[in-house]
Order: sequence, then C-alpha cells, then structure tokens
Amino acid sequence: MTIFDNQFEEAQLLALIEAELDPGAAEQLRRRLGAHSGAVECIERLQADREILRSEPVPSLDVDLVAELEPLMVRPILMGPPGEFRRRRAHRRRWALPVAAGLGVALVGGLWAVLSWAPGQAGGVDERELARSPEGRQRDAETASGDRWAGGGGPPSESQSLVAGEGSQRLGPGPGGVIHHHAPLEVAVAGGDRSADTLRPPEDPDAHPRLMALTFALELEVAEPRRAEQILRSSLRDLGPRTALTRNLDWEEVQLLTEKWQRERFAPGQPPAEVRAGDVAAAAPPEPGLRTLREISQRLRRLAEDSHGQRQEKQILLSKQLLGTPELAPSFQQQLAFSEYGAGYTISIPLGELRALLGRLGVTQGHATRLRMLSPATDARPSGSAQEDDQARGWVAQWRQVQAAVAALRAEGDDTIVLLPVAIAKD
Amino acid sequence: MDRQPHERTPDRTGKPSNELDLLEAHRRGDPEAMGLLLRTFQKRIYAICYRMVRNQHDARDLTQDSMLKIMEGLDSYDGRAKLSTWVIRVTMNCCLSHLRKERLRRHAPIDGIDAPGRGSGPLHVPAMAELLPSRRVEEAEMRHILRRALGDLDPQMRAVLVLRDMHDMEYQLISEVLGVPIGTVKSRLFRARLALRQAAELSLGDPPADHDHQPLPGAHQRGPGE
Repeated sequence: MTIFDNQFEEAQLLALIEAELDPGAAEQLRRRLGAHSGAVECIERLQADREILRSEPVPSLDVDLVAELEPLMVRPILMGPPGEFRRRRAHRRRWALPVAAGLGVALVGGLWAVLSWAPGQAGGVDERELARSPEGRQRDAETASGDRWAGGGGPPSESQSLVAGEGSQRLGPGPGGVIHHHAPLEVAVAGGDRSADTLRPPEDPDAHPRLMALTFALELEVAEPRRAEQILRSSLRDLGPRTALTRNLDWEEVQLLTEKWQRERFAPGQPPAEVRAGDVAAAAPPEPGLRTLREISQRLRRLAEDSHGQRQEKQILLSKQLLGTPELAPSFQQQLAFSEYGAGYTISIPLGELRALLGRLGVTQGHATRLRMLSPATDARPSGSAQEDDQARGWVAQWRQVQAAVAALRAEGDDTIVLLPVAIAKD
Repeated sequence: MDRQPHERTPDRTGKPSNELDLLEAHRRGDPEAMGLLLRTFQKRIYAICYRMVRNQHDARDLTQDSMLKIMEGLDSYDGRAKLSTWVIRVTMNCCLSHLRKERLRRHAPIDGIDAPGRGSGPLHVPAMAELLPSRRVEEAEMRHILRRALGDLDPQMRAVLVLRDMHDMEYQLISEVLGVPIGTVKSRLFRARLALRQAAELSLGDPPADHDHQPLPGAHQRGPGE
C-alpha cells in the first residue's frame, strides 16, 4: 500500500512536521500531499502529537538525590585531583628504585658487620624471637588458642611480661624495654619502664609522630558482622608492608577489663573463680552513670593511671593486632579513644594508600562503606540499634565535615601513617 | 524548556555557579564542586530518566546511577562536547542500558503480537493510511494515550522523541548524545513519530485494519548517515 508512490522523502515529511520548512515550501508540499487521500490529515495528526509531547510538563523532583551521593564524593577527592595523585605516585616510583637499592646495600653491609662482630648470635633467627622470653612465647601460644585470660584466669603476671630478658639484651631494644608482640597488642599497664610507648596519650604528637589519628571513621555495613574482619583483611592485602589492622577494645572487652581490675582491687592475688561477682559489686559499686563506653573507657584510663601511681606491674593483653608490624598499631589510649566512638578496628595505612583502600572496599560486593565523623558515644551502648540509626542519619549531615577533614589531609605527605578507625554496622 | 545556561555567571556568594566553573573547581580539588555541579543537572537528568522509564522510583534510581557514572567519568571528560551534552549522553546510556535489561528480563509476548516500534526484529513502520484516527478524542485523553504509547516504543525511538520533543534538543546535539549521524537521527525521529501514532491508535481500541507491515508509503527509506 503505497499511496504516495515514493514521491516523498522522510526528511521532507519530517521537516514539514517539525515546522522547519519555509512557508512556500511547506505549502507546496501540502498541495502534493493533498493528492493522496488522508495524507494531509495524517501529517496534521503527527504535528498535533508533537505539540502534545512538547507541552508535557516537567516531572517534579521533591527529593535531593545528590545529598544521598555526597558521602561517595569524598572518595574521588580524597587524595586530591587524580592528576596530582598520579604525579605524586610517579614521583614516588622514581625514587623507589634508588632507595630500595640503597637500603639493600645498607642491609647487606649491616648484616656482614653483625655477623663478623657477634658470630653465631643472629644467623637465621628473628630478632624479636630472640628478644622474647620463654614465658612470652608461651603466652603467644595461649593467645593463639583464643584464651585471652589463660594462666589462672587473671591478667598475666609480671613474670609473663614481654620485657626483654637477659638473653636478648644484645639485640633487643634495651633493658626493660617492652617488645611488642606480633599478635596481640601488648599493653604495659604499669611496668618498670615508663618509656614504653603503649600508654602514650593519643593527643601527644611527639610521642609517636608518624601515626596520625583521623577524626573521621570508616563505617563498614555488613549483613554478617563476623565477616567484617575478613573483608578488612582482604582489602588491606597487597597494600604494602606499612599497613596494619588492629582489633580495638570493644565494649565487652572494656567491661571485662574493668571487672577484672575491680576484682584485683577487691581481692588481689585471689583467683577470680573464688571471687564472687556480688562481692566485687558490693565492694566496688559502679559509679553512677557508669553505663556508656565513654564512661567505662574514662574509668579504665583512671584505673590505668592509678595503677601507674601504685607502681603495680601488670601486663595485660588487650585487643589483637591482626596484620602488620607492631610499630604501626594504635596505642592503648588511641584504641580506647576509638572504642569510645564505636570503632571496633583500626587500620594503619600510609595516606598515599588510603584512596586505594577505600576504592577496594567500595567495589567489594556484600557490604556498604562510608566515611563519617567520629562522634561521641551516647548513653546507649554503641551496638544499640537506636544509636546506629542516629549515626546513619548523622552521616548524611556530616559529610561536609568529613570532606573538610579529608581536604585537610592534603597538607600531609603520602608517607604519613594514618590511623583510620573502623566501625562495623549491621546491614 | 529547561536548557542549561552556558555563560559564566558570577554567584553572589563568590562560589562558582556555572557548570564549567564548577568543573574547574572540582578539578582543582574543591570538595563541594561536584555536589554543586550535579545539582545543576539533577532535575534535567531526572526528567530524562522519568520520560524514558515512566516510573518515578526507577527514574530516581536511574538518576542516581547516572550521577554516579558522571562522578566516575568526569575526570575523563575531555571537553570535546559540551558538558551538558556529555551529561545527557551518560544519562541516556544509563536509561537505554536499563531498558535493555528490562526487555531481556521480560519474556517474549505470549500472543506473538508485539507493541509497535518495539522488539529486536525489523521495525514495522506503519503506513500513513493506517494512522487515520478512528475517532476524535479530547486532548487530555490523547495526552494520556501518548504517554502510554511512548512507553511502548522501542527505547531508541523513545530516546529520540524524548530528546527532541521533551528537551527541545537540536538534531546535532541529539546526534552527539546518541552517537549516531544526524541523518539517522532524522530518520529515527520520523519513524518514531509514526510508530507513536500507531501505538496511540492501538490504545484507542481500534487497531488499524491493515497489518501487512509494509514499509512507509512513498517515503524513500534513507540509510543511516545520510
């Protein structure tokens, strides 16, 4: 059925519909179309359709969809413009080879010097292994077995401390120095050597200048919180040797520690099994308002300071360093501070790798990640759903603060190790 | 229509307000520029998405997907096309991709009769004689019918109609957005109009008598790029 007998081109007809022909040409085309039954009416119908479509109202949008995306905008700008980021990385790569070569030469030279000076002492044996006392190695095994309070149920005694022993003085950090354990983080609550850096306050930049605690936290939302540790581990893999993952003190842990210390104060030396909880509570009733993690953490700090004052020597295992070298782990106080804000983990990572880490977490399936400011815990327990809701709402409102905090990081060098607290939330 | 301003207009607050200024600010590392930039396009992106999918919920999701893609790809934007054109292109690609997935999810029509202008097979372009309205309808009713018919069109045809009629875009810009020659845009637009009309006629409940799927009468079928 070809009523026009191929006399018209699509372009001509379209131009007529679109009112793009000059009046003379349009009139001429209409006359030609008039020779075909219904053709003019059909064109008019298409023109009417066009007018209707053109007058369609613009659908309204009553929500700000950008606001929901703003948290994600932190990531692309985290380390500055990509070009700058790439330039900095290229710069690092230029120096990497000469520096690595220099370090290699120095290492070989140093090893040769040590071997020729103290033959038979260091060959094939890890320095920390030499520095660790037999008791310390025993406690390694205990920790590995998962029994944090093994050895009588109470905190480890002085004899179990990882203070460098006699046999390790030659290669260890010096008499009385605390050797950091490779896997749980050792905390010298009180010890013969006050120079141990595990109790340094986080706000003291000179005590540990290379570790910079961030004011915002990474929130990892997972359906199964037990998977969080695995996700963090795999995300940190291959990000270089200067990364670490530490499980912070959690609420139960702090509570347990408080209880332990209360027991110690109530009945020092008595096995915990023989100390009834009721007696402890009666003797050392919790202070009014000792309910929140913040308050417990503050109380814990006071207890730690008291212990220092009394020169009691105790070595307590707290938390666990899961990855990385001990030097990169947050201090006890930093962990407490992060725990106060509900952060169950701390990632230690060079600033230059932070973007890569967030990128990895962002593309991994099965969880959501976002950055939020560290906000003080409220009266509820950090794991309470009401507080989680508040935190989630707060996140949207806080993104500008996070951005400002991120922007401030640009003044720091890529090599600066930052401590990124990680809060786990249930999806 | 809601065309985007391209001239650089100073903002009373001193912050960049124009899209290109915002882009530059973003590239300089201004942490707020990306949000402001997306906000200048947000309504337009949503309007395109809504008109393509005809569903508020999907349109919002697609708007966010598009903005995410814009965020990810903005660093690779080379300035060859206008930023607004590039943004609409990204948006339209998101919509078309979504509609493709939707079509794959759906089963083939059980009764074997597909909607006009839809389907992966050869396009049926109705003859003009088929398009004679069987009855007069009020404009409001016709508007409703056309909206529904638009949703039944092939996504590529729908795209060209949305961009041309609902966003008042020139052929050249449509060509850049869809990545096809101007000739193809015109051809697709004309066929889309015919297909839309046929779909509207079908919606009126009085389908055309002739279903022999003949090519457009009297119109030389121009190939793409002409």
